[in-house]
Amino acid sequence: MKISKITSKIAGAVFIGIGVYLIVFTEFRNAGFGALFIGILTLLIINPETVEDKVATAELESNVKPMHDLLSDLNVMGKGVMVAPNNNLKNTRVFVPAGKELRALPDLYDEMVIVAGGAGRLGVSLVPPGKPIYDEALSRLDTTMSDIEGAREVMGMLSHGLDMAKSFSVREEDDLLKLRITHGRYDDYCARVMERSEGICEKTACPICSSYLMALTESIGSPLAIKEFEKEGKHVKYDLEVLE
Amino acid sequence: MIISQKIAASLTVWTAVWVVIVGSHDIELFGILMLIGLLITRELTTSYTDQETGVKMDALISIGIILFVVVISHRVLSILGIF
Repeated sequence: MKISKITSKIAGAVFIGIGVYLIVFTEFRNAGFGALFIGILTLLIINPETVEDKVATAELESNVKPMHDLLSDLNVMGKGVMVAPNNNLKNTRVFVPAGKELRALPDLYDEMVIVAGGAGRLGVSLVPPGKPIYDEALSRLDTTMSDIEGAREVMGMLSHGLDMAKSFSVREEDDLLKLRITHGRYDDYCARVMERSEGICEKTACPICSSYLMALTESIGSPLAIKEFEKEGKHVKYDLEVLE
Repeated sequence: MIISQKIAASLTVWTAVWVVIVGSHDIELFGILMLIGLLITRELTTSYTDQETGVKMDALISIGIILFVVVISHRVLSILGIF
């Protein structure tokens, strides 16, 4: 059992002890009842089984660096396209075109990584790095990803339930979907990823942003191409084009 | 701060506020206020809590509702002069 968990159990037991004492031996029954309530709550609800921040960010980063190095070695230069499951594809993939311009999205298949779909359609198809985080958020919800509201629900879980970011917003403007993510505890991680894995945010995105992009793609059901990416202070901005 | 810690912190503040306001009067009212706090917190955090935390909160709410029924029954019986 971790120290933090033991601490919370001891705190809960102390509150219960104080509560029982106040109820039995004093006239402050409400205070005793309150302490008992807090004690039970601390014992039952608080669940501090977690990893240290530095370890968590290192784990997240360990996913990004190899992907960045792989894409750099392959000289893949395009901006990523999130592709929702379809007839050929069972799971969402991120397609990164080899060239800077994508003429048309090639047919993607689950078992295919290097995609040679003809001129202007060459690239790599990868499992989005945010898939495990997205799956975790989805498993905690009873929602269907049939519209953008479903995406908002999953993003709410990612932000407030899993603490991946402080807040988010999605809006439509000039035929583009604008996704804004405001970082909280992972802002330093975000800055470090941008510095050490330059350009990855526009290609596959880091696991955190990738999980938000996955939610959006799966809710719409159409491929989403990253058009612009910008980081301004704690805010991360994605301009996305829905490809029909 | 993870969601379960936020829940515990907000309910602790809620409890502390009502301990100060209600003081040592009327334990039944205090109990009902605790139940209301728990219900509000559960409702506001439904989307964000994992299943395990949700089940534990529901168990606490169930105990609170049983106590609430006992309190109300006691009141009704005393008004009717039966108890």
